[in-house]
Amino acid sequence: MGSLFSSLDIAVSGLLAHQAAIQVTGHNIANVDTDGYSRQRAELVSQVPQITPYGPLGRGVTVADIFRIRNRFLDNVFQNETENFLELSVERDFLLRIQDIFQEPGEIGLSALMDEFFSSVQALANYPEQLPLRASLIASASVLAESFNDVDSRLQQIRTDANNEIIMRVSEVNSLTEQLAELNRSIIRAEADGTVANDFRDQRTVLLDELAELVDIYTVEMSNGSVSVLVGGDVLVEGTYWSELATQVNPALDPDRGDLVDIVTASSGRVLNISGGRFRGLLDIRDVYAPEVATRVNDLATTLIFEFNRIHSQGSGLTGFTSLTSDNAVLDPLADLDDSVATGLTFTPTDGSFEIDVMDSFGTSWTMTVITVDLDGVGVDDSLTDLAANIDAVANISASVSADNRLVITADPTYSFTLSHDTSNVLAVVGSNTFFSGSDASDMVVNPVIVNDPTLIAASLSQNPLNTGDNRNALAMAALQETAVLDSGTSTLNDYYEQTIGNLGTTTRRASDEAIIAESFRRNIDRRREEVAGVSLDEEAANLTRFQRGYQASARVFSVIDELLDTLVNGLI
Amino acid sequence: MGVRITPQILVDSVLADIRGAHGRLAETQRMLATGRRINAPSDDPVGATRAIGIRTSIANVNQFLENIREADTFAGESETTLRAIIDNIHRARELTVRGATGTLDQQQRDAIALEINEILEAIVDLANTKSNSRYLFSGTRTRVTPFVSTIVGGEITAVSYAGNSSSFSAIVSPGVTVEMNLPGDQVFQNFQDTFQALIDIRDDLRASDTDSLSNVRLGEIDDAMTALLDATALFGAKMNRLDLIGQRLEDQSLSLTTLLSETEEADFMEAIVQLESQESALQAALHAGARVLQPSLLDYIA
Repeated sequence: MGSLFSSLDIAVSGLLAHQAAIQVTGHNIANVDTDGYSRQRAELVSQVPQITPYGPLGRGVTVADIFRIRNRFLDNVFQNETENFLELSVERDFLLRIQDIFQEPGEIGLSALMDEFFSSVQALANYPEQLPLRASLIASASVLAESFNDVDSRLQQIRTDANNEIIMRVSEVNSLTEQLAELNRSIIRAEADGTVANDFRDQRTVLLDELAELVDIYTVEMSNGSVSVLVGGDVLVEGTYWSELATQVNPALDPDRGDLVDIVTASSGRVLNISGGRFRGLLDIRDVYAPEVATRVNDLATTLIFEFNRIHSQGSGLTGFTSLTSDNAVLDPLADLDDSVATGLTFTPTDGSFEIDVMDSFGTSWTMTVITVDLDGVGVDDSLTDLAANIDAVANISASVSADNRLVITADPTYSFTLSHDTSNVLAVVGSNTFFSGSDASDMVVNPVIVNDPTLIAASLSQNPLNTGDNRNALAMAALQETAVLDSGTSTLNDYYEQTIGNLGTTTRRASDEAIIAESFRRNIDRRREEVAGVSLDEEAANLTRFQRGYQASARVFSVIDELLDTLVNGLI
Repeated sequence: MGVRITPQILVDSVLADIRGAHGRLAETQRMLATGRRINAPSDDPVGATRAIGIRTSIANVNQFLENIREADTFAGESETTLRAIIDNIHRARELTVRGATGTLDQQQRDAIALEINEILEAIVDLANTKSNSRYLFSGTRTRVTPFVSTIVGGEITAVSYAGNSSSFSAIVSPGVTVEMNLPGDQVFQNFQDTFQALIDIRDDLRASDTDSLSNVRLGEIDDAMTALLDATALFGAKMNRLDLIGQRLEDQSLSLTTLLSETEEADFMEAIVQLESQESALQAALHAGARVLQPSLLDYIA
């Protein structure tokens, strides 16, 4: 049988246990607003009983454990949903910005500007001799070209922004992984004696949640309490060790840009395999979505430039050229003109011929010579040098290849010439008698030769400069709008552009909708986590009351036993 | 265990609902501010694509209408000029008939010859009319005076054609062109040279060759008249055709504009009703939020 003093111990154990319980409750209440905090409970267990002749006699209560209530599985699910949501959210935000670049449907987008351009061509066809209409066409063409330049540079800027954000956020990752390693250390030390480091674990979960926003993580808890974090098979955190990430410029990502980076492990230089989180979204925008749109815009511009030039070079203007240097240079003037690798030209001419008409200054007579362009693959084919030589042979004309490998044609004093009726397309390919200069959306511009002298706009198909009303070439240029020149001859310029915008709209819409759903899922999981682990003030208040009563009751017991002792000690003497 | 509700859950829930209400309200406000229900392709990808296409069609139709106006003006002025010339030819024919009667004396015939000469000069001037600084009857040599007179002793002895025989066209709908002009040689010097006929009549009058006047010149002037009437009819027909096409294009423009409206524009009535209901929803969410966040057991424990 126990002594009264041991009964005191029982009361004390009650006081201590309830005090602990109240403290835990206080801790919960204090942390009601703490991010990631899991409510804790003191596990009250009755003490090992004393074996007496009467049977087992209880020895009171003790706190066996202070544990946190948390569903680890939900944490994993939450991290997955976070990775998914952030990836979609980033994609959606950037896609909305990409859409904004185009301002469609509207009056200032590329579609309206192309309409305006072709309208100007038709207006010129009505009155080809009128200089104001020529100036007007150059103006609308310039606005169109500038808009293409602008759209292209903004799309590249989007990629630059994504790239910069990647570089910036890598240091965020490093900061998080460093902290995780530090927490792992703390947890290992704290749990060495078998207790659970509740608050450290909560903090670690918060860090993992943050990390999951950036990359898709795979977590494994080790027996010593530490958590290992992997991304795509590469270790980021293992125990107290963390692997620093860095960015490395990789020119192969885009040969036209030298600044795009890979995310690599700093120690090994190996590229990280990321499939979720912000980084995945940024990489997809930079390497897939934005380039896709940019490529389509470039294809549109390149086709417009070449096809319009092709038609333009069939005709002549109100005046002839006195001197003309081709826009495009070749890499090797001795290479066959249809060998695009050796010439470096964007397009390829074919076997055919064109006309050169030479007029004296009085415009009363002109001489027509047909220049053949031999690219039939039989015998020796023409190179730029050959072409220059053929043209040079024409009376009152001299032609040569310049030092920077361009075709230069000059008329003798008091003479001028026109180039037209080109079945080989060589004129459009090298850029002589063309309307547009440049090769894609980034450098598209109205040919400065035309800008300086609008009378050179080739509206006429008649070699005779007196035939100022001949508008057949202008009509042909206007008809380009309805010609299917893209998608292997199934789409017009407008069709192609509409398809591009339609695709962009659909992709953005899908990303938007999916982001909303992902956000909803994520919030749902977060709520379920909270339902399990969150502090309910009602609950804690109730517990507070309960433990307070328990404490009071034990205190009462203590008083009673104290009185008994008093009776015993003082009364029995 | 039932569903536990913690303050965090309540706050989160209230915030999410309010954010949602704000978001929907903002969308409706944007629609009302721009007047459009499609403000970006993602609002309605199919609708946006269609809207772009409709806008292009409208631009095309408007340009075709302008082309038609230009062609119509040119044809109209050509027709008016030809009618003036025909009036003159009528007068010349009357004079020729009179001059061919045998009862006139030389002085009277000389007087008629003078009038014929004046008609000749007037017709040459009319044939050299310009419209908007391009010659009506030069073919595509629009800056070159079509009919050049050889003057001897102050009078026209020959008229030669310095234009060409080409025509120029305007596009009036996809792939459809209408020629705007008729070359001068086709109108005035085709089967019969109109000017030469008058020159010859004048000279015959001065020579008192009534035989030639009756048996040759009258026929010639009739041939010239026929060619002019044919040309006038051609221009008339051209203008009718342009009118018809123009009318059709006007109708098309109207229906396209309506279609664009239907595709792009917000239904104002619907949007305003939506705005009001969304505003109420927001208010309700805010109120509910305020009430839900407050009480807890702690308020009630002494």
